[in-house]
Amino acid sequence: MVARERFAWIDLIGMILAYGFFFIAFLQSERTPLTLVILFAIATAIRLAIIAGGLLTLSAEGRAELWGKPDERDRAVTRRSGPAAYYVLLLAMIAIVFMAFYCDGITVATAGLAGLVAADIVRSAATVAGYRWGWRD
Amino acid sequence: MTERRLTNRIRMLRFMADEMTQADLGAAIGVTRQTVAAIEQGKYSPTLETAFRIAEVFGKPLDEVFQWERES
Repeated sequence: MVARERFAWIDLIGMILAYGFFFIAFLQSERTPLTLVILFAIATAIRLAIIAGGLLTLSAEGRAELWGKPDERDRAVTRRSGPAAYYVLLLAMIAIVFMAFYCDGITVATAGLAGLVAADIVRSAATVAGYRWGWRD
Repeated sequence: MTERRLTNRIRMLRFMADEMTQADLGAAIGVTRQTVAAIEQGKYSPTLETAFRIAEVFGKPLDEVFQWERES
């Protein structure tokens, strides 16, 4: 498995674990703005720690290509995963605009974060799928 | 419009070139071993430039390396 694919898996799993924790913990809390900020900061720190651990592991394994120039397949995978995430983000933002008229601020903020996280998960999942199963134009 | 797919004979050509490894071919054309593997398996269609580079490595015309066949 190419180092960039392994890193994409690490990124995807890290995101699901970190923000899964965030949404479960937040929905079970009192749902105050301060709780939202603190839990999101913790989740982001968890995600960064997982990414750092992944990078250290790949570096320790001598996977130098991770730091090198991406080849044409790497660039194609990256190019194709972006639009999928864009449409998720677009739908999320439209939903949030309408939610702003009917919901309280904390719900709108949570939905906004959910939209961002969903778009990033889709981007990362599309990257993994691109490496694993490929695309035929 | 008839459905077509890109196939290739890279595996056979590597065999005929003294069992050239995927890593060696990748180094010669500027891609990773995994990208060569993906091209061989039909999971990734290379750019025209890379296709020509592969053909050049084996000293063959492009249409002896890549074929555009009708899907059965």
